[in-house]
Amino acid sequence: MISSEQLATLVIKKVIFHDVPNASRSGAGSAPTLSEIETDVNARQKTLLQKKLTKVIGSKHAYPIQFNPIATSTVPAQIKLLTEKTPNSQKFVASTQLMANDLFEKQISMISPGLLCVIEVAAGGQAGVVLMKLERHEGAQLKLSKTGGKRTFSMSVLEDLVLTDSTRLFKAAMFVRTGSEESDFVAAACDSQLNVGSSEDLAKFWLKFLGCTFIAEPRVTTQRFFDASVEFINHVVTDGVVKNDLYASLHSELKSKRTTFSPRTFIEEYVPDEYRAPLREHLETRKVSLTAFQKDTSDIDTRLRRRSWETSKNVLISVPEDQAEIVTVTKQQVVVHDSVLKVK
Amino acid sequence: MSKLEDARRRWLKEQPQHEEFGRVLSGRIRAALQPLGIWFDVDYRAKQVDSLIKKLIKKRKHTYDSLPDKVGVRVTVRYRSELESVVQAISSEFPFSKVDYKDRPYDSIGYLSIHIDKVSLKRDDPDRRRYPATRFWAEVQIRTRAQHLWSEMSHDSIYKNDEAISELPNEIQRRVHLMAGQLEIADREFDRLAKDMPTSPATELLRMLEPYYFSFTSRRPDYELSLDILEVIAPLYGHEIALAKDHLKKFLDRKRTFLSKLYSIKQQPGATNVSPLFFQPEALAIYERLKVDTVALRSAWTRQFPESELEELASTFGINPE
Repeated sequence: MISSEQLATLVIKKVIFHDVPNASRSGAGSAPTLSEIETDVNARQKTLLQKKLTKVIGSKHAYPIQFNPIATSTVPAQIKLLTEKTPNSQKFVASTQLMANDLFEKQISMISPGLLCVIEVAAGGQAGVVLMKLERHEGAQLKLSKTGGKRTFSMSVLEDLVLTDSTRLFKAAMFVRTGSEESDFVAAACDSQLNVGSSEDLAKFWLKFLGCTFIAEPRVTTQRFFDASVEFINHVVTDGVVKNDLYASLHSELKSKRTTFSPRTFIEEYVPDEYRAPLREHLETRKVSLTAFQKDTSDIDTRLRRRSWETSKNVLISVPEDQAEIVTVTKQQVVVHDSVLKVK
Repeated sequence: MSKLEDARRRWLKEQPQHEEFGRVLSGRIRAALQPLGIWFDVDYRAKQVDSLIKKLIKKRKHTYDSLPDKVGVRVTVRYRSELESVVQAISSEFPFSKVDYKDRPYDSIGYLSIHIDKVSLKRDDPDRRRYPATRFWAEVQIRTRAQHLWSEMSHDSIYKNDEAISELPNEIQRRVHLMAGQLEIADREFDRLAKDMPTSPATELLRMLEPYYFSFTSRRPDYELSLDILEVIAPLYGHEIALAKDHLKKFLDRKRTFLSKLYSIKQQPGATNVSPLFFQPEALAIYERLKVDTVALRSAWTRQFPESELEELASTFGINPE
């Protein structure tokens, strides 16, 4: 994963934009509008770009990725080329044009048109490349300017579109070369529109273009396991006591000090015989692996917290902390709103 | 051609090279002093041609080749108690001929400073070939700010040296001595005051952060702002400030390499994405809180300071605070 240390030491070297329409919507004969030289970027604009990248690549919606060896995308090869040694301007432009053409070919059906921004960077002194796809409204025209007879998009024209509109949707990826081997990269991707794990074509489009696959991250794996298990307990387990026991065990194991978590061990130790196979199947359908993973509950912390009430006759009511308002305690009674209290 | 004319011609030709040597050496000295974790300022100059000629006229025993301070590097620190650590750092790192403590007898006051003579680049310095020790050296002067004030003010006046002072009327001599004494007292008091200041959690944190901060940069912070911010941050560490300091030290020791690199990048001319708060010692504590408990930090911060400034600083440290 790209670290905050790498983002802090980010240096922006070259920037270029290409306008890439949607092939199937623009009709036959449409083609990307390719810049022929890199875009001039001043210090203030570099700062804005750095801030934006820190927000995006440093957000919890960013996920570590790796090159997919069977990918058909030209991106991995171009990233390797651009980070092998500092590219001259000509090579940089040519390489980014290839990526823009590749994006054009993959940008079909529901995919919105957009600007492909490619940035040559250094992070912690290591060579890197950032790709951003900035969606623009269909029909919006962007003017090219000419510098020395060559066309380019000026940063000032794009500034509002790219950097100051916090609501605008876009996709980003950052690759940093960490060694001389082909696989010596750390990389992360972020797609502001979609959640990781979605099986929709839209979700896969950005990764397909990047020629990458996700590397499962602990907080993602932990959240996926938790969500799938809670879903199973709520909808498949019918016995109220078992339901309560399983829920308590799940919480207790996830909150324990152990740094790893094994779904397989959890099933063996806490799940009654009759529910073991159904739970395994359920996890499989939700694409949750049974192998042990590094535990990170940062994305589900609030859901693991609970508030409890105990009555004078040792009746215990426990609810998720974020739903504590459904319980009202008065002198004579405990009322649970919005819920049906089943007593066995 | 007279000796002086010869010196003038040679210096006109060689001065730019010596100026460049001064820049290189002062950079090396700066790097050698950084780990001390104290505030210091380093500047340098190669003598102007008129100044060189005047010196040769006054100091007849010297020739152009033997003049010790054709290049001068000056290190200024805040407190007298820091002088010796600077002398140690420079004398252990660079070749030199002599450390000259310009001490005064108990009944004499005036110019105080420490000079290290004929300081040259180390044998393994990559620029040593360009600036061999046989031709390129500098006189390094080490002073406190108060000593520097005396030196600067007396430079243009006739009381620059003892000889000149002794020729003044008694009443004027007395006034010069009184003034020098006052400055020396002030210098000593600044040193003692720094040690005797009352403490609060904020000042304790600041004292703990300062050596780290100054080991990354020599930029002088705004201390009033430091205390304002640390008063907001200190409660986030709980009641035990000693534990907080210990925790912060461990964190900063772990991050030392990264922080050193980051401060080096952000000090370069044209550096981008640098928050105005980055060159403040408390930025280091904010960085630690951003890593450890962003929610509590943000909540405390926004009660007193603009949220945008916290976001700017977070971005400088490569952190998305959301």
